[in-house]
Amino acid sequence: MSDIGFMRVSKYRVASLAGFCTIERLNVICTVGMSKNAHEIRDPIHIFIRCDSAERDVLDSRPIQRLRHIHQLALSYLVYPGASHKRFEHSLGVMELADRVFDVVTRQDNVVDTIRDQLPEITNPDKVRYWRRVVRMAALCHDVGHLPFSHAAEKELLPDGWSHERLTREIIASEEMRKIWEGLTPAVRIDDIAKIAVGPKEAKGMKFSTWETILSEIVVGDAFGVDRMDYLLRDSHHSGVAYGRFDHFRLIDTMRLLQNPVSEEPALGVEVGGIQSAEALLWARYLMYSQVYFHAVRRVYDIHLQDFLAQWLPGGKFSTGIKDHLEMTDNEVMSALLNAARDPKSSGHDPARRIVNREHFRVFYERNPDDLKRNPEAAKIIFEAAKAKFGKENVRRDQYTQRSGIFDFPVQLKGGPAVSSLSVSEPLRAIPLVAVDRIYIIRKRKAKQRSGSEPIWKGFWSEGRRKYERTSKGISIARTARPTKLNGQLVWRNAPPEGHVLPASVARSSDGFRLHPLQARSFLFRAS
Amino acid sequence: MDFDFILYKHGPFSFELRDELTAMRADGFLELRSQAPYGPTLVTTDLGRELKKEYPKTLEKYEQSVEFVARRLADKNVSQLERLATALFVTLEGAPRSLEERAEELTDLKPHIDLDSAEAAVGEIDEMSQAASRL
Repeated sequence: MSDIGFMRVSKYRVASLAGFCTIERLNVICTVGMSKNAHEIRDPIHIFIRCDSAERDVLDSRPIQRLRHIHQLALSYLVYPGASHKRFEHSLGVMELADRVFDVVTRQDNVVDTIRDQLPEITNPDKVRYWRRVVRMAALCHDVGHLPFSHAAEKELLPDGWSHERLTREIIASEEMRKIWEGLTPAVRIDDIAKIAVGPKEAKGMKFSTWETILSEIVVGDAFGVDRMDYLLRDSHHSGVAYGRFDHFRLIDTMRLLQNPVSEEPALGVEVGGIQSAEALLWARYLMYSQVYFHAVRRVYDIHLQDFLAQWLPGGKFSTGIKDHLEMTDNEVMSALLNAARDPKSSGHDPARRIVNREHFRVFYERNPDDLKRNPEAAKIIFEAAKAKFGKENVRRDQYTQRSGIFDFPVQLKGGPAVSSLSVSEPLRAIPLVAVDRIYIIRKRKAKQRSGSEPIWKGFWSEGRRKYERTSKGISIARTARPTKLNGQLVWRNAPPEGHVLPASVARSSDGFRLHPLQARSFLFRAS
Repeated sequence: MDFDFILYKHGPFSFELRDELTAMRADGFLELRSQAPYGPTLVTTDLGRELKKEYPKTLEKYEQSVEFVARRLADKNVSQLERLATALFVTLEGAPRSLEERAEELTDLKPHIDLDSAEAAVGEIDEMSQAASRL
């Protein structure tokens, strides 16, 4: 930094964009007396995120500014109130980390001759400068295709063959962005940005060189892509769940381009001194998935949101047109959702009110190892039985299995060869897979005492051969009821008031079911 | 089992197949086994063996093909498998070409593989494909 001093501009006009007029309080530090070519944006995770004026044109574009209105963790803030951060700051964070990793792995001191021979791009300063720009811009744009509320409703609400990654590619190649890419110095090729932003899995039909594969791994890689690094650190910070933290400074400092120990192909790896940081990252991922991303209540809100969107959207699907996509944010959806929750005649009223009033479905059954041994399709059997018994509109299933669970990357031993991470790290071999299979069921409303109505009474009683229980939560079939002996006769304590009419079915009321947890498994035992 | 393959690290790779295998690990049918300095190997668990007993007809249907693949490829190391799999990928992609043309394309795609090894790999794939067609 210069000795001349700094001037902090707390607010400046960025662009006149439809719906997104100004960047409020974006702190820019600039050197007095010089043109503002280097900009630093304050960030709670990385302290400063740097960009130059040319890159700010990308930052100011509609697709990037739209991310200010897309929650990073969908409706998770209903469970973790602090988790209301947006994709915008995450995208900035990914750009910053991608830059740091790129600098470390291409620093000449860190590159061995065999890698230089295999990746000639590293030895050419112009190419390094070009690819650095590509990596930064790809990182910044990697999420522009996200639908409202991020992943919450993506799979079911896009036409077949579409995903947020495909939308990302389309937006990167759009006319609006094309002009910006051409204006950068050096101008960047659209295909290069698209490839690095979405990676080989989602860039169908595009061929990747080894160099491009490595660069896309820096951004969206399974083992230690910076997308993952940033979302773990950021989501952990905002949700208040500490499990997502790990020593990313150490990890980045030890990242290297290494020869795969078996195929001798160049790959992204770490020096042995960084293996613990890599383990911490991948365990952090597992723990954040278990604790935050797949929290049972958070997931059922996603299901209610999907139900709402399926009823509210024209044709039950999001439009894949770029104009429509850019105009659709969480704000538009939330506005419609609040209206629908208030108006019983609105389409999507029921799921909307469940979100707004927090009357979500409850977990009825959850996948477990015992049942899997008994029948690998246990959850499916229980789901089908529950739908038949309680009505398909009252039962939902949430199913997810982790996609990549083998974290095999080269590790450079001190003074020795590179070896597979799985051969030197017991913790990496032991990371469990995240697999979720839950069945949710409509919950029974709590009995509320309304003024002027009969008073709430609690107790057990029987009618015919059935025994019932009424608690503050409502009426259910009694599980632990025992009659007491009075004057030689068995009587139930606190019988219902005289004249009370028992509902036709207490196990199935008009608004929900109150079930014994074992009932779910009884479906499985019957099927077996 | 119509999995899509793309050219990736160590040759052709299918993300769909990877996801399928991961799901089988999550369900307890497969488990990871690592042997230094190599990467992981997937092996069948007791539960996986139980599952196989449930589907004898399906196993019988594919037995010959599985045995052929095991006989011809089981003792190859990762480098050899990478060469062969990429040679097969190049052979199946695009119009039919001579052995030399395909070998050259292989070295373009995988610069760490020399031309002699590439030609040998494409030749072996041609021979293996012919043998497989006679099954």
